[in-house]
Amino acid sequence: MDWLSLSDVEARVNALESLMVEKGLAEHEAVDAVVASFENDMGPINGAKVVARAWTDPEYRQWLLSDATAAIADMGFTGLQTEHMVAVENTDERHNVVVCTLCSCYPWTLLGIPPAWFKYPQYRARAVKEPRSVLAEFGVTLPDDVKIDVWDSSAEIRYLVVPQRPKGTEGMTAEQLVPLISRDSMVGTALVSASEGA
Amino acid sequence: MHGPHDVGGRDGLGPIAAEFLKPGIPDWRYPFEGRMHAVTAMAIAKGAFNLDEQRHGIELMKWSDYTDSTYYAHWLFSVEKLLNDKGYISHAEIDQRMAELGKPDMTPHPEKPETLSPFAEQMIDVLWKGTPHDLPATDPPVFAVDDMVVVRNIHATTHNRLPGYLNRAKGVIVRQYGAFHDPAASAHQQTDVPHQMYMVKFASKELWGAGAVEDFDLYADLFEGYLEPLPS
Repeated sequence: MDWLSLSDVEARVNALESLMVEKGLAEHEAVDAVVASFENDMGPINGAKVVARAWTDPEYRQWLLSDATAAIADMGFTGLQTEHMVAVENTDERHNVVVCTLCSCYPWTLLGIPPAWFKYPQYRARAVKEPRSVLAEFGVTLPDDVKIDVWDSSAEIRYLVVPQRPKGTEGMTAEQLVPLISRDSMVGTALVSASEGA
Repeated sequence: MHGPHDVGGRDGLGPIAAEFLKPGIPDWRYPFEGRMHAVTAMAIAKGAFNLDEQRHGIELMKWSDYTDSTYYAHWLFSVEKLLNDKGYISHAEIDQRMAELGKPDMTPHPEKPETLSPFAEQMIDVLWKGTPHDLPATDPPVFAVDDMVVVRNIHATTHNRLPGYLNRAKGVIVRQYGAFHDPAASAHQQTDVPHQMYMVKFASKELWGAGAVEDFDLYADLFEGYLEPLPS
């Protein structure tokens, strides 16, 4: 393969799109529409709304943990790569980390496009062998007595980590909690604090 | 197959790039990324190939190309190969079109067009409906929750969803999912064959040996054909 540089890849994608349009496999404006949908209508805020609702509504939390597919569909966030969901909760005893060692499986309509670190081989290789060390590189140091569970999305099931609700947020509404819940906390590489998340 | 994509547990791939850990970098860093993603979804919607074929195509990359290239070069390699091999667009046509078009002028972060064509509407519809992969099972599940299992010693050179690091590992069934379409049948025969699937739990010391540095549990979703009962 002699087109590894970014500019080569860009030029080749450009040519591919042009030919696909000509052969009826794509449309330029439809590509714009799909890109815009991903960038504007899908993103971690969808997942944050699910988590915030679980934090403030114990019945919803139970539903999410027992049937995440239905609970997430209820909020309108089902879609491509989010068809089959499992939610795993962080507790005082347990911390969850999600990875796709074989490729980059990720619930697009719930969390948006996965971050680069999730897609490249380095995280994928190490998360299933030394998760605690990987978490430390993300600035997450867990107490020794917190057990780590690692989820390798090896089939069509996609995972949502339900982070722990931080102390100091008592009395906040779901709407107020949403901005605290970062994308990384829903994949397992961050914790949520009472001040706004990334 | 144990191709370059099968990286779970491999050493020597290096640290997570510091650039990727900077806060606020966009998930699509270059305009070609979103466009490659979109045209792939379109080709699948148009029936040129399916998602399992697209995943498998990436697995056929040369190892050094896989590790050294930017992520969406993987999608480009696979989609281009599939479209070429299936007679839609040849590699030579792409070479030629590149020469004709010269330097691309892609719009970063395009806006949604004011009016959507029927195809654009169809694509957005697919984005929000998804394409579920569960199927009615033809046979009942062989394994029950709490059954002890061992992953079979499978080294197919064709597509499957069995990470190499789980080969021969002993685990326990945690959940029955019912049947999903088998990815190998989909990738190689383009058929939808139901295959019972399970959530299986493995201990880190089982995977990485008694000398494993860390103590944790690992869960993977595995098809019934990858598993056999643990001899008692």
